Amino acid sequence: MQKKILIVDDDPAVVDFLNEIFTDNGFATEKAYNGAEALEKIAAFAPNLITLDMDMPEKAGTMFYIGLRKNEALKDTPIIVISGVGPRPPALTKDIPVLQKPVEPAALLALVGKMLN
Amino acid sequence: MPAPHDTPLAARCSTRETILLVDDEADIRELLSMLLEDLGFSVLTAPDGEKGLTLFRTLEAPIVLTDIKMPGLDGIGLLAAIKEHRPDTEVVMISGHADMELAIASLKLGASDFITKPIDVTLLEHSLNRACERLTLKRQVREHTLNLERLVAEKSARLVDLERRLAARQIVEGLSSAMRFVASEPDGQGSLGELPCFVAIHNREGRVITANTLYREHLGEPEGRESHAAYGEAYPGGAGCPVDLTLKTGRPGQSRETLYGVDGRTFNALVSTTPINGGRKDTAMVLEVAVDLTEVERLHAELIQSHRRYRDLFDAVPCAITVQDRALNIVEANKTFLREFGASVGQTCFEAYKHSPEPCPDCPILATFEDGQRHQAETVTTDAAGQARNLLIWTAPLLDDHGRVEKVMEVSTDITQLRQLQDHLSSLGMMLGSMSHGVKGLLMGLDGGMYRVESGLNKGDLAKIKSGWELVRHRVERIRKMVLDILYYAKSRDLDLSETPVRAFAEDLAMIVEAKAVANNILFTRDFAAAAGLFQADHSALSSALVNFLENAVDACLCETTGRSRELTFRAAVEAAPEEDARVVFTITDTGVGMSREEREKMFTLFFSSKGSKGTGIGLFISSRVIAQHHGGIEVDSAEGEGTRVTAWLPARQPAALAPRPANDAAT
Repeated sequence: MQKKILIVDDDPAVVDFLNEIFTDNGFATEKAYNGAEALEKIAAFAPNLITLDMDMPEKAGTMFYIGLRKNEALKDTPIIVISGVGPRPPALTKDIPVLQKPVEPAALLALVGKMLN
Repeated sequence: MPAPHDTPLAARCSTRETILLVDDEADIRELLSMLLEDLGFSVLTAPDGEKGLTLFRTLEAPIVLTDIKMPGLDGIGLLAAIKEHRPDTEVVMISGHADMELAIASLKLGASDFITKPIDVTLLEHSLNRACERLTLKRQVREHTLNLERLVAEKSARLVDLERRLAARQIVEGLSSAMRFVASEPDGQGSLGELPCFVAIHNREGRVITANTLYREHLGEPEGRESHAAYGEAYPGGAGCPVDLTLKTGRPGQSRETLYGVDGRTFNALVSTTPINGGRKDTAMVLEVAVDLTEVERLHAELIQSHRRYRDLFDAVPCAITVQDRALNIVEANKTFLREFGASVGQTCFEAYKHSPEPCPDCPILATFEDGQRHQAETVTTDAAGQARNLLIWTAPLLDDHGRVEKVMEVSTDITQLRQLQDHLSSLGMMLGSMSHGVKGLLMGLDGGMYRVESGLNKGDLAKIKSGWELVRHRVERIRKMVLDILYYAKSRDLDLSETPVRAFAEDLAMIVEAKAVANNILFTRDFAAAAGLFQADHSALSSALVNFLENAVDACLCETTGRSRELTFRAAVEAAPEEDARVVFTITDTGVGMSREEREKMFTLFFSSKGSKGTGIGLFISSRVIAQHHGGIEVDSAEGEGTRVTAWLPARQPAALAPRPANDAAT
């Protein structure tokens, strides 16, 4: 079955880029441009993996993460943080890998492959 | 040499510092506590501003790390309360990207620094390191001040002591002048013996009849001795010596003499002689009282020297020191103060420091008069050379004999350089913090475009290549512009003036923007009818400044989605101004989304951007700087949903005598 990835980022160019990488490589995708939209879409879409920008306005990344952890069915969905600024965002645990922007497509795909197996 | 990270940060502070961490998010509190403990701090935590303040009031942590956005008392409120209670406290703010304005405002309220979320450990460590350094510095300044106070107190005590001793001597003098009554008593010997002066009674033959104990001890056995013997060789044969004169004239005399002791010592003495006539007409005896001035003179010299040492110390201290009375008149000041501020004793403090007609609000000197405690304040003043100086002020009470505050001493330390450095670091940090987000977004977009081009090439899909290339080109243009802006900000260069026709300059500008406007269905109008003539400017700087406005106008039109017609008018004109040289006026009018009043007020501050991740906020700041460097001005009219009009003007001829106005440093 086709694996599903939810892309969460406030920069449309980034969303388009990630979307293109994933669809080119056989994934189904859903796009969300802020935390609230991501929380709305996640239940219906039930992704196998989420890429999350922690660096969105209004702490949307952190809020989305907190919202996700409250959803019993989805709280263990693997997350890759794709972030622009600084090292590890403090609100996340060490199990969550962090990729720095700009992201290397090959590295991203390798990480996605590893996490989905 | 160990890498900086090998030494726990707090170990570089003089003591293990305590940090109070205030954040409403439990996970951030938990994570940061761990981090701070790793860095070697003791950590106290509080979940909101009120609890944080309560904790601070009881435990007084020297460093506070607080989130800005919190329910109830927020970080800004907490900062203000802490600064009022303990201005020394280093308060570092944690801000989200969205509250950059608040973060900047907090610096004005006395925050030491701010760091943005998500928290970068290296930046946090750096910021805390600086806080520790400042704490150490402040402690040193305070210790310095305390030492100074102690020295002054010791010196004053010594002065009081010396003055007492001097007074005692004066009493002795008074006593000895009262001697004539004592001496007239029949058993003079008993009373004479205890007097602290050399007292002797001489007969008509110029010989000593009797003398007191002190005389006996120091000048030798008196009985039968020649009256002039005590004066050494000054009066051979005795003629002219004080006793002789009184015997001959029958009148009292007073003179300064040198007395020679049995052990070779000499005494500088004030000798007073009084005739005792015992009821007869001629003088029967002479009472000679010699007050030893040696000790008095030594004390006097010591007093002067001590005064001078105190004065030297007072003048040599590298702080401005003044002593002020209740009306804030400067009654005493050291040389540093007089030199640096060109003021004089007798002026009031606020005149001297601030050229202000009234005392400053929250005057620390008045506070010291009020409660007798030391107070601290920080202020900005103007020195004799007209330079602004940041001063750290300590006040201390000078008490009178009854323990009341009589005067207040004010010690001002110049911390201008410290502040400038701090401001510069803050603005650099602000710049880097706010830029990196935008830059990384741009790079990611660039990667996206490149990926699309490559993917198109692999599939032989020309349309995909084209759209990918469009993306790449767009992003490269933005990056290019941003890099140029940064270069401009980083280096404050002088204007490179040259003369050009206004119309040609405006046509060039229009060319840059017109293509993009037309491609986006914006009606672009040039209005250069009144643009005849030449003008002076740094054309490359001015052109990049005006392009910022033109591009903003295009962007504002693009954001306008209600279906109104998209129009952009660029007008350039030479206008005669009354009593002035002609002005060149550029007007850019668009029918875009417009700006709110708040946006309009902030649009020229550094890092303001209404474009979210698309803008860096540096462009308009630089535009306004360029226009100001050209002695010009900018006016902005805007209404939300209607459009914006930006008018930028500059004199057609740049004032030749004036050097280009130096660009101000970043947002302060």
